[in-house]
Amino acid sequence: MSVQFTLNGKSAQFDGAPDMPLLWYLRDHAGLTGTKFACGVAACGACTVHVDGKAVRSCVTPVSAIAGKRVTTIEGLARDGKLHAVQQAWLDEDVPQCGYCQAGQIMAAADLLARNSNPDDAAIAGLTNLCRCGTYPRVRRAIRRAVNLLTGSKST
Amino acid sequence: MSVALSRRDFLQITATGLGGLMVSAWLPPLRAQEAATEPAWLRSSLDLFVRVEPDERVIIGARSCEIGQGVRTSLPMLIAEELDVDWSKVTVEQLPYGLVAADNEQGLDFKYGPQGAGGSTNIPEGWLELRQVGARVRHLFLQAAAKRWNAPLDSLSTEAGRVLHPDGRHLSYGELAELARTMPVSDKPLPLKAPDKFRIIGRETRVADGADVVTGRARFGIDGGIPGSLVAVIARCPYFEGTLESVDDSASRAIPGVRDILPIPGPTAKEGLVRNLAAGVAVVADDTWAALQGRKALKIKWRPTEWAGDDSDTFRESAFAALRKDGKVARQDGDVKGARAKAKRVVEAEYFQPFLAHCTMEPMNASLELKKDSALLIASLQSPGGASRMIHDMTGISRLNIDIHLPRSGGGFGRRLENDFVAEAVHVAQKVRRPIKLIWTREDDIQNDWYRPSGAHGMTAFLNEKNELTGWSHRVAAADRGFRQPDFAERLVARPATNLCGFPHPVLHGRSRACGRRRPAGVSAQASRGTAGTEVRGSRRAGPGHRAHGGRAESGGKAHRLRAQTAARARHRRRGAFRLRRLYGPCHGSLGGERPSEDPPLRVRRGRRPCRESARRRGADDGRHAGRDLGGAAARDHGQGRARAAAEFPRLPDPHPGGGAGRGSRDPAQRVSALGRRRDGDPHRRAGARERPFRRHRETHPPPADRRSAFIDLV
Repeated sequence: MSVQFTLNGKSAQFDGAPDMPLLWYLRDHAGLTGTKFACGVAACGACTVHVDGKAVRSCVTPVSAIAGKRVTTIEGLARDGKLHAVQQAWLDEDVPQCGYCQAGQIMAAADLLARNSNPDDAAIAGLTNLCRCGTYPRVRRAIRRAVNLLTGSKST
Repeated sequence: MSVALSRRDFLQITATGLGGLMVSAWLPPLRAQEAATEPAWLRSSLDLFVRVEPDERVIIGARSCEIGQGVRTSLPMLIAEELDVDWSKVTVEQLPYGLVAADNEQGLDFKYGPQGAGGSTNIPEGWLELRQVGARVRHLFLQAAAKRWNAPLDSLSTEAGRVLHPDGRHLSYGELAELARTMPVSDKPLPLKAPDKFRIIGRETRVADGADVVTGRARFGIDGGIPGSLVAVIARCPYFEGTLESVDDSASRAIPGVRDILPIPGPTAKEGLVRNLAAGVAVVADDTWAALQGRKALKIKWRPTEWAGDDSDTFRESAFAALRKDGKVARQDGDVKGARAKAKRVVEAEYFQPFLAHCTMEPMNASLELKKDSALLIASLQSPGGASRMIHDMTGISRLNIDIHLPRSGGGFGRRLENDFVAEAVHVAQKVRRPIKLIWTREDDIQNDWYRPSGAHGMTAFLNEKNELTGWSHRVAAADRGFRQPDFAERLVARPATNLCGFPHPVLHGRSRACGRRRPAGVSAQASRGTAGTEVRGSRRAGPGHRAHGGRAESGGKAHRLRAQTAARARHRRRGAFRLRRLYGPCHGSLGGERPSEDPPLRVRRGRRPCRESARRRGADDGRHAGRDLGGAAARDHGQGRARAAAEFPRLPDPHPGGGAGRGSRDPAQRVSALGRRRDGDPHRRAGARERPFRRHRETHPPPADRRSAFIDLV
């Protein structure tokens, strides 16, 4: 059984086990190791990718579920060499420590801003990505900063 | 950029043919007694720390394991400072683990110096060494310019990557690179900058490879990278010292992609825990999903051991039962009996700490390729030296032929100071004869840790009529940190983390007592230096002691807070206020040499900026404490308490008398001048925070001779 989909803007096809989680397809078969494994049970968000523009935890999403859909990973977030506002804000605020959770954090934040262009504190707190190093304050600052970058104005 | 390069790659000359200047110099700590004995290989063609390209780009090698503490950025900053370059022109490249042949007992020496990460040692260890690297490379450029201009070396200076002539001429490092390569490296230590001249050290600096992290390019151990690798996962015995009785792998072998299934040995009774933690059955497959499915389909029978009956509840009960016993005095300061007799109030409390897994975000992993006479390891590590030794001990491959790459590590926290997962990879790779990527799931990781020891703590505080703490007693019945570590005593670095009594408390009279437990025969108690030493009987998960990282998560740190909380409760004061005064009070006399660095030397927070804790702890400040909003009461209280404490409580003798600006000295005149300039409008700078004095701690407090034999980084 062959599953066909779009991956970071390019056509892709997978002929292996359809119940394989998208996470392992990406890491082992697509050569895209930016999406990380940390819990495998959708509790931490390190595996967050976008499917049809929405954040999804790839460790519990079988490849069969993305047939015909558009998948974007952290490697595909920047377009034409230009960083996404969230990525730029992440650099400006110097968020990473060990860096392992950060791809998932960024994907989740990008999804949040796509849904809500000016999230309040409660909306930002709705992001449940875990960070063992504790970068949460800088994550929040980076999200605020990304809002500013996107809107060009002060957020509330 | 973040991928570790082979030596050949790193030595590659640029396409222009002009080449960059490549110099390496690893130097031992410049204590007076060692200044004369630099390693012999320093003179030969060296491995690099610095490369300057003709286009003025400066490439600096990062030698240590980046586990989120920032050393991939901060250690190059040390070099860049003394090298005197513009940090915005610096690119950092990760160095691999390096060894060279040497004419010593072991036949080996560091190539880049120590490269492990643990105990917050990277900045103290690198502080003088790496700055000296930068200074010596700068000296090469000065020599080159002196020759080019035919000018006296002393008349020249440098600034941001250029050598300056007094008459206004200048030459950039890039222009001088080729000539500088021909200059001799200084054979004696060069003077380093005074802190008030720092332009890089002391400034908020972003992680050097941030762009890789935010784009997913950054490589971690679990990302592997050895071509042709198969994935391995292991079903581990749930019983400590348990063995495999039988396994039915027929269903597993039927799963597409599963290539092999094999048992691996675990520790046996009475053996030290020097390899992997548990016996297991390894499933080797084409990809991770097949390996995991294969493991799930195994039907395994394990042979339990005498430990199988214990669990968390029985452990907890026996810990408290042991606490009631007399135990053995591990440490006593002052007159506790007297404090008890004169006390107006006595407050007692008991606490229980569970076993705590380190829970790094990235589970354990190791990618390993074994060849007949060589090996390649790519893994998230904290002790690459230990990994090198592990592979050598298990395979006999010469350590000089074991290449170890140091990708980013998704957290370390001390867990990766052990190399048990490397041992597992060796077991599998030896049988399978293909490169192996061993990965642990989250469940594997939580269930197979070197846990923070669990234990029961009984604390008693004695208070006088003014409600001041005049003494305390701390009884402990806990798992042994050195459990089944045959070389633990030798490997242990004297650091507060290991030391229950490392509490900064010389003003207080206290006694700690380690309560013994019934132990299996042949295992000795560890009651020295206040380490609570009791054997733990129980399941494997309850057995092994923990490996500590830094100074935060250990029993010692927790014990500090426990003491503080007990006493705070007793005093009916705000917890924070009490903790302030007692933990960060002025009395940092020594503890009889037990804790050589009671006062942490420069700790660079997040790898970028020296932490002001050192000075703050000395009570050098006005009572403000970064990050803690304690309100006016605390500030008032702190000031008064400090004065009172200083007046009333005797100070223990300084173990380093005559050491200049001693640890106990609060004389401002003896402090080094303030930190370098900070970025204007620094958004991270707290309002009202002022510059703290900056101590060249290491220069006034040389670490003890055995400091270099830290367990993290023996050669």
